Amino acid sequence: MDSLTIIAAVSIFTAGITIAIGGMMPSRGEGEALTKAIESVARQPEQANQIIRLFFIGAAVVESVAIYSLVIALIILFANPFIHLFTK
Amino acid sequence: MGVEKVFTKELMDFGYIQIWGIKLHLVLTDVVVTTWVAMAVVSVISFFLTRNLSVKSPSLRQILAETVIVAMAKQIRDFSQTPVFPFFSLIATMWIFVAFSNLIGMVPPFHTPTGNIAAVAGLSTITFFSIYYYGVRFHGIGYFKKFFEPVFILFPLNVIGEFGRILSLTFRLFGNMLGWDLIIAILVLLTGLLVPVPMMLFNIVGDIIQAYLFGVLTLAYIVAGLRVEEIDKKLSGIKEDWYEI
Repeated sequence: MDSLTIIAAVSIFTAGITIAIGGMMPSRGEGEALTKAIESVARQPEQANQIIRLFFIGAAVVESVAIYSLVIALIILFANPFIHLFTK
Repeated sequence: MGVEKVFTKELMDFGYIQIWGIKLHLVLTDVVVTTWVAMAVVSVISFFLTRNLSVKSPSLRQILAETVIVAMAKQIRDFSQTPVFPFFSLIATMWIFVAFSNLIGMVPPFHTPTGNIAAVAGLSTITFFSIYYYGVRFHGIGYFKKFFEPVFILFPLNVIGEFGRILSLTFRLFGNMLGWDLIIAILVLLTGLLVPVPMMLFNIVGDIIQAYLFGVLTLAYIVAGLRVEEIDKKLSGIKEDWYEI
């Protein structure tokens, strides 16, 4: 088992774990925010436009955490900084 | 790997150039060509939508253009609570251009230009400098006092936060676009040609939402540092009734 095999295996495993955990937690938070937004719209239908706009902005801010983990996973898979040490 | 066709291609290589001891690698990628095509499309459509405008008998073209413009102005008005005149050209242009750049990836010979981090970093640079342009324009040089709030010691944290907001704006658009493209490429690789069509329909919705968020967050970063009451007093001479229907 040479070094290249170890690096490839660890990289693939780490990318999977990264996107799994990094996608799970922000989606929990976004689900809670969506629940509150729907409850608020049901309680005050005349404020629906403002509530939905605020929800979208907040959801996008939360979403960026998941995007960070996607970027890290893509770097590990396609632009691995350590793999050139062992490929001639 | 078929997935790597999603990433940026190099069309021409102009070699290296030396400026002030900095080594620049001049290379023409397909992102440049695609953004120029998007700019040309937007310009031509805008040119033909604004011919023969009239107040008495508006044509169908004019009604379409006015609907879009008035909807954007109302969004900016609702969000900033100031007259829209100073911000309207920047934010509306950003919305239109980013939406066209996101959607042009559906046309077969092109790749999505916003799936490249350099293009999105250029757009975020516009946001970064426009924050200070509006701050100095409305509040003078005293705008930079906001870095020393609430206490003097927090100045480095404020600077880091300022850069972090721009970085998150960059990575949000770039990661979303590249993620959608990768999903479609992997589905084509695994199944067949017509399977990703529903995904591409979702892709349209996602592209429009990301373009809207890029403009709205630019506006939010600009307005967050301003004191809205003073600006309202300063701009009270401007009467804006063209978007209130």
